[in-house]
Amino acid sequence: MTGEPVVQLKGVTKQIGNKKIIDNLTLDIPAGQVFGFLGPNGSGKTTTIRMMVGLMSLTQGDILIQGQSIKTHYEQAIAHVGAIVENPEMYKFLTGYQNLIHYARMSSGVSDERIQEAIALVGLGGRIHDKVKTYSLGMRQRLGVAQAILHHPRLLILDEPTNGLDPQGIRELRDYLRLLTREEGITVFVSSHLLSEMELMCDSVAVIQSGRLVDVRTLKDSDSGLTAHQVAFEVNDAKRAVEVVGEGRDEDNTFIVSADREQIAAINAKLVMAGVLVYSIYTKVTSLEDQFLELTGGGHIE
Amino acid sequence: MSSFVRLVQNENMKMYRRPRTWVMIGITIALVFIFGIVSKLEPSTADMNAWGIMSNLLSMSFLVNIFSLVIMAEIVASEFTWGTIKLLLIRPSSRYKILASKLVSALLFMIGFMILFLFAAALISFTLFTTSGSLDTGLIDQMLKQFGLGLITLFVILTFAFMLSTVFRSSGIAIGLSMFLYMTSDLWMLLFNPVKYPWAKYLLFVNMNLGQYVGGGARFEGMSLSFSLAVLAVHVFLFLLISFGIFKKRDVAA
Repeated sequence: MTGEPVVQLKGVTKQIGNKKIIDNLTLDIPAGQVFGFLGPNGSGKTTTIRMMVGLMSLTQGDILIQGQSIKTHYEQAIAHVGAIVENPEMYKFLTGYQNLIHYARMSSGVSDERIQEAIALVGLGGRIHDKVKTYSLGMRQRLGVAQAILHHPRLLILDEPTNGLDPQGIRELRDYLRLLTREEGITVFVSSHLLSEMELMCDSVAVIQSGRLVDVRTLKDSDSGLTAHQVAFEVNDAKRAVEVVGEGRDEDNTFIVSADREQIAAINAKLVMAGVLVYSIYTKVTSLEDQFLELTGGGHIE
Repeated sequence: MSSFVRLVQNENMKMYRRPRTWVMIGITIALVFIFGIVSKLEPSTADMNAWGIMSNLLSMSFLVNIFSLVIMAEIVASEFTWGTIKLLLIRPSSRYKILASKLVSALLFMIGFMILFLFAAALISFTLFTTSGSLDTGLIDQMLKQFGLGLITLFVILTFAFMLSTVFRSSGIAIGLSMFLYMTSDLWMLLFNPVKYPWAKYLLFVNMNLGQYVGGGARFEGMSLSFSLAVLAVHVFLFLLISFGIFKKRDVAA
C-alpha cells in the first residue's frame, strides 16, 4: 500500500453555470486497494468519475493517473484505466463476445487469449456467444467488468456497481473485485451510496458531500474506533434489564450495553437469573452508516 | 493494423450486425428487381433499350440516399441513446479519431450500397432488356452526369445529417431535419429567390440541386456549376468543423 498513488486529484473543480458541482477536490488513491468513494445522491461522485475518465472536462485543477495528466496526456493516462460509468451499457444486438472484441480493438495489445481469460475470470463462459439483449443485469455487469479489465489496467473505476443487482449479484461482484486486486494487482475505485456495501468491500473510503471532500479513512482496522463493542440484548423488558445489570440503556425496548466477550455471558446469566427473557444477543457495530450520516448531516442535498 | 482501421472495423461490425441494415439493403434491391420486372411486363416499356431502363431505374437511387441518410444520422446519436458512448470514449483513442471513424464508416456504407444498387439495376436491365438498337450516347452521358452530381448532393446532405446527429445526439432530429432539407430544397429556392435577394445564391439549398446545370445551364445569373460546388464545399467544411468541434468539447453526461 505504499509508493506512488495510482490517481492524484489536484484541486479538481467543476463548475456548471454558477454552481460548483465539485469544489477543489484533492485526493490520492493509493495502489493495490479497494478504495471507496462515498456520498449521498447528488454529491458529485459520478461527476468526479466522469472527469477521471475524460468524459467531462475540468474547470480547474488536474487529475494524474500513473503520473500522466488526463488533460495533456489523455491517451496515455486513460490506457491505465478500465471503467464502468453508471450502468454497463453494451451493444445489445451484438453477442457478449463481439462486445469484448469491440473494446479489445480500441486498446493496443489485447490478445484473443486475454479475452478468454477475462471471460473466464468473470464466469461468463457459457453465455458469451449469446446476444447481450438476452442477458440479465447481473450478467451485463460481469460483461462490463470483463471489458474494463481487458487491457490489464492499473486502475478499475466502478460507478455504483451494485445498483440494481440482487444480493447474490452484489456478493459475486464483491468476490471478484477481491479476486482482481489479488490476481491482477488492480487498484479499484468504487463509488456508492450504499454504505453497508462499502464496509464489506473497501480498504479505505473517501466521503464526499456537496462536491467537497469531507473525510478519508481506513477501514478494516478493528481498533480504529469504528467498531465500538456495543452489545444489544433483545429482551422482554429492557427497563428491568437496565435495573438488573446496573448499566447500559434502554433503546427501543432493546437493552444496550458495552461489554466484551466474557462480560456478555455474565450479563446474560444475570438477566436470566432475574427472570428477564432474553431472545437474542448481538454485537452492535457502530456502522459506517451512522458515521456517514453524522458526517453528511443526514445527507441533505444543498 | 493501424488503430484507425480497427475503429472503422468496429463501426462496420456495429452497422452490419444489425438486422435493420440488411432490411434496408434488401428492400432497395427487391424494389429495383420488381421495378425492372414490371417494366418488362408493361407493354409500353417492354421493348425499351436496356440503357433506357437503366436510366429509369437510377431514379430509384433516392432509396439509397434515404437509407444512407438514416445510417449517417444514427451513427453518432445512437451511441448516446444506447448509453454506449460512455464506454466508447474512455479508450486510448482521441475523440477526433472516433468521430472520424464513424464518418468514414458511414460513407463507406453509402458507397458500397450505391455500388450494390448500380449492380442490381444493371443486372435486371441487361438480362431482361435488349441491348441492340441505336445507342443514344447523349442519353448515357446525361444519365452519368446527373447521377454523379446527385452523389455530390448526397454527400453534402450526409455531412449535414452527421452534424445534426453529433450536435443534437438525437437520430430523430437528424433524420427529420436533413430529410426535410433534402426534400424541400426547391421550396426554399422559391422563398429565397436569388433573383429577388442577391445574397440568397450563397444559401445551401439554392445550390443543392446540381442537376440544374446538366444540359441547361444556370437557373440564376451569377451561378455556375463551379460556383455551386464551391458553396457546397464551404458548407461541408463548416458542418464537419462544427461536428468535430462539438464532439471534442462535449461533456458526456447521462
